Amino acid sequence: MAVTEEEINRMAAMMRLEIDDRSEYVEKVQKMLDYFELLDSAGVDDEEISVREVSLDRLRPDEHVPSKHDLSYAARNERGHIKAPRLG
Amino acid sequence: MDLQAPAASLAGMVRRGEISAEDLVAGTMERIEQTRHLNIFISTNQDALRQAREVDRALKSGERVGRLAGIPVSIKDNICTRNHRTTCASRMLEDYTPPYDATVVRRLLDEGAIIVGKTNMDEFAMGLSTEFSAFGPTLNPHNPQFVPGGSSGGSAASVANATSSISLGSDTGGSVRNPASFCGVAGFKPTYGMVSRYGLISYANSIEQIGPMGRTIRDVALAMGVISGPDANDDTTLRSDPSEFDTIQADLDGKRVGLVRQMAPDDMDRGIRGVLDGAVSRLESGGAVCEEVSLETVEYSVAAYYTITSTEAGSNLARYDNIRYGYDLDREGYEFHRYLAKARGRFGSEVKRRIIAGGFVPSAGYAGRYFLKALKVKSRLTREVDDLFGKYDYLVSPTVPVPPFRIGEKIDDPVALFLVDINTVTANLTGKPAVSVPCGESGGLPVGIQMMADSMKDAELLGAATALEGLP
Repeated sequence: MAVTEEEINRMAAMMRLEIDDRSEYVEKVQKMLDYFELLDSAGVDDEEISVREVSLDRLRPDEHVPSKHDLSYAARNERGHIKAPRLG
Repeated sequence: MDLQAPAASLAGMVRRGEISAEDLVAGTMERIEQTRHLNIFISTNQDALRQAREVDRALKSGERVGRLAGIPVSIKDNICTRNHRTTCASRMLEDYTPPYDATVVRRLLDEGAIIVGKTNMDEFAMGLSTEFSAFGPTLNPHNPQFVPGGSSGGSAASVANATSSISLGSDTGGSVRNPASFCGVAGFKPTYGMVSRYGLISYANSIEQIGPMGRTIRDVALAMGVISGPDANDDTTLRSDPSEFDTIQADLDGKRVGLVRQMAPDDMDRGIRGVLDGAVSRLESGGAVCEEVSLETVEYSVAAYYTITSTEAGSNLARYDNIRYGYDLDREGYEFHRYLAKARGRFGSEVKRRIIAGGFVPSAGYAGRYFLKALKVKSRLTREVDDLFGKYDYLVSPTVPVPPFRIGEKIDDPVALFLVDINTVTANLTGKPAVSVPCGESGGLPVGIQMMADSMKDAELLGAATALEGLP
């Protein structure tokens, strides 16, 4: 596919990313996508997507383990809540 | 004091009182200061000497000390250290101080290790030369005009430079093994699930693992014996027996070794070819039977790898919204989304490129073209590798098919950089353990040989890898 400045702008907006030099992104992202197109010649259309299988005896017992650390101690606490900055 | 001595020897000397932990750590901190120009560390631990004195005090009063008591270790700066800055080599996390230790860090500290500092890396581990750090590149201790590899370049350089005995890196596509090869140290990517990722700042969490680096394979095994094993904070960890790493041995008799044709092309660097030939002779003289094998899908592995990792990076890095993590940027005058975009503009250019590519490849209209195909390539590669492990014990290749390159040489061409990963990504995509063993030189710079084994055979693999050590 051909990457255009418009496409880069759209994608940057979707990914919530401010970028300056759009032409550089057009060139380098185009190079990346061109390379990814090598996947077309892999001949994997009929391949099933497999997942990594792990036997149950390799996993930990399905039991509740209480956390040893209260991560909220480092946050700014207020009446038992974690205080976050206000956003306009 | 020989700071280059293996960690296992230094630990014995500290325990027996032949050297003090304080002297060992003081010598290491002094060397860090003397070699600042290599830019190996992002930050150092100002409390290290006090912690070393505490080890000495415990030893003198006959208290139990851990296996790594007094040993200087360094930690890649994407692994959380409580109350110590963890930046991911990014301006986004420049001042981030985690409120908790990663499980691997906690386990090292419980065994008495002294963390001397946090090492430089490619920003968010995206890169393989440590040139994409917001804090400037790390230089290769063997020749400062060359890259140390990456993304855990600071960690590998730190071990090579004797500014830590053991270092922890993270390996998403070769980020431990590649710099280990370029810096002439041992580096290990464990089976997926062998080591907890709790406290590792995610880049592509479906395939990445924390792995140790050391001056010898036995030091790597020593670290694995400490950091591996299940963790209630990471449900992808698997049940395993860390004590297996205490008794590794080089038993190659009758082992079958596959030399992967696609990972050692005919036009490969002649120096690297010579090192590979030497490694094969060594394996054969130990009783192994070596023959060439084919892994057809390797050709497509790098494209699949970057498609999958860009997608996961786009998702994992969405959390950096400058609300939960970030830096001081006044919110006044910004609409909500504009504020997020402005704040996230602080990511470096390589990270931004991958986030944008990670937006393209899984999005509506393109997913079938890139992402689903990448998953299918990953599935076929896994089947091919599993088939080979039905017949062979180990797969062997150069860790990196090119020698270390000069700083700045490849930085402007993302695809040229991608291809450096071709021999390492297979272990990540298939979840297998793989180790890089320093085996020689090409053009005066180190060359590593990679050995890969089937899942959960990590300790056996490290045992076999000791047979390659000591090659000229």
